[in-house]
Amino acid sequence: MNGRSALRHYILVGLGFALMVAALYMVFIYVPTDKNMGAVQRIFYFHVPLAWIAFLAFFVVFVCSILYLTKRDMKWDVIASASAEVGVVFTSLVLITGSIWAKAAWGIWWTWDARLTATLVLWFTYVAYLLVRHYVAEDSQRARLGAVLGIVGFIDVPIVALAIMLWRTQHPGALIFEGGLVTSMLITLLVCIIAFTVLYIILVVQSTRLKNMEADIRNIKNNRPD
Amino acid sequence: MDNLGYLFAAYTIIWALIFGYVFFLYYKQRKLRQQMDLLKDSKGEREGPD
Amino acid sequence: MKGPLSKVLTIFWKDILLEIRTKEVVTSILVFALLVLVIFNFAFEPETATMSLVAPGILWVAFTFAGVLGLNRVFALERENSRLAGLLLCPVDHMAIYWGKLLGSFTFMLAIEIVVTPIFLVLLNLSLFLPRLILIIVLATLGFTSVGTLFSALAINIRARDIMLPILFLPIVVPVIIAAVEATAVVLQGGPWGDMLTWLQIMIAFDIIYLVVATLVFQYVVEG
Repeated sequence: MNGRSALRHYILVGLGFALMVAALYMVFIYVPTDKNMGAVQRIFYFHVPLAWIAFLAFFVVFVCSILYLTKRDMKWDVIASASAEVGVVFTSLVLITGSIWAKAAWGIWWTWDARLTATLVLWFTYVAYLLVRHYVAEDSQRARLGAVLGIVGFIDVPIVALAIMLWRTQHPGALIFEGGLVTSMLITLLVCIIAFTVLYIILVVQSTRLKNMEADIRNIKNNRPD
Repeated sequence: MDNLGYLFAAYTIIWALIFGYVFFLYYKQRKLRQQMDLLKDSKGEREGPD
Repeated sequence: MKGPLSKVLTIFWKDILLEIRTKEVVTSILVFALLVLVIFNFAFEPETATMSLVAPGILWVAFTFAGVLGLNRVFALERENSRLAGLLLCPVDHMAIYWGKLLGSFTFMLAIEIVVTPIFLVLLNLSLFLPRLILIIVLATLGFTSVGTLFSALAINIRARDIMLPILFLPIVVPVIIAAVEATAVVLQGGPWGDMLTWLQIMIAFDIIYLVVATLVFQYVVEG
C-alpha cells in the first residue's frame, strides 16, 4: 500500500479511536443515570448504534449485490462480503447486549420483544449468506449467488419487521426496550452512532483489503503455467 | 451496585467480539503471508516446467 | 405470448407426469407431514385447552418442514445431470423455468396439504368445514414456493445443499409462517374476517414481492 493511502488509513484509525474515546466519555461521564434502570441502562448507548450499523451493513450488502450483478466487477462482491461479516458480528453483539440488558433490567435472559426477535431473524438470514459463500468454491459463482442472497435477504427485512411487530401486538406481554429520551441522551446516542459508523468503515476496509489480497494470490496460483 | 457487573460484561463482550474479528483478520493475513512465501519460493526454484 | 407460456406448461407438465408415474415425492413427504403431526401430539397433552392454542402452530410447522423436504427435490433431476444446460437457451427461458418449476412445486405442496389438513382437523377434533383455511393455505404455499424454488435452484451449486436449503429458506419465510399461523388461529376459533385481514395482507404482499423479485433474479442463479 503506497504512502498516501497509508496516511489516509492512519487518519481513519486515529479518528475512530478519538470518536470512541469521546463516545466512552459521553456514555460514562456526561450522560445522567437513568432513573428507572440505573447504571445498566448505559448499555443502550452501544446496543442501539450497533443495531443501526448492522442494518447499514446489510444495506451496503444489498447495494453492492445489485452493483455486482449489473457491473460484474469483483470489487463489489468483496465489499459485500466484508460488510456482511462485520454486519453479522455487530448483529451478534446486538443480540448479546440486548440479552444482558434484559437480564439486568428484568431478570430474564431473553424477551420476545419485537426488535430483538426481528434482529434474531436478521442474524439467521446473514449467517446463511456467509455459509453459502463459504460452501461455493469458485469466485464468480460465489459472487453471483451471494449477490442474489444479498438482494433477497434485504428485501425481507421490512417484511419480517412488520410481521413480527404485528405478531407482538397480537401477543403482548413481552418486556420491551422503551423509554423517553432526554436531549443529553440523544446527543450521546448520536456520538456513539458516529463512532460505530467509523469503526464499521475501518473494519470493512481492513476486511476488503484482505479479501482482495486473497483473490490476487488465488489468481497468481491459477495463472501459473503448471 | 450489582447492575454494574452486567454493564461491565456487556461492554467487555462488545470489545471481545470486535477484537476477535480483528484477530481473525490478522490470522487470515498470516495465512496469506505464508502462501505468498510459498509462491515466492517456488518461483525462485523454478527453472522450467515441473 | 404463446412461446414462453407453453415452455412453462411443458416444464410443469413434465414434472407432474414424472411424479404421477413414480409417486416418490408426494407419498414420502405426505407420510412425513403426518408423522410430524402425530409427534407433536405426543409432545403436547391432547384434548386440552392448550392443544387448541398450539394447533395452528403444529399444522404450519408440519407444512413448513414437509415443504423444505419437498423443495430439496424441485431441481433434483437437473442436479443429477449436473446442469440446467438443456433448458437454457435465452433470457425468456429463465423465467419459464422458474415459473414452470414454481407451478410444479406449488401443486405438490398443495396436494400434500389438501390431504394432511382434514386429517389434522380430525385428529384434533375440530370442525371440518373451514373454507377460509383454503385461502390461507394457498397464499402461504405460494409464498413458500416462490422463495423455495429460487433457493432450490441456488442450492444446486453448493455443497451440503440438503442442510443449507432449510437454513437459507426458513429465515426468509418467517413472515409467511407468522401470518399463516395467526390467520389459522382466527379460523380455528371461528373469528371474523376482520381479524384475519392483516395476516392475509402480509401474505399477499409477500407473495407479490417475492414472485417479482424471484422472477427477476432467477436468471442470475442459473446462468453460467
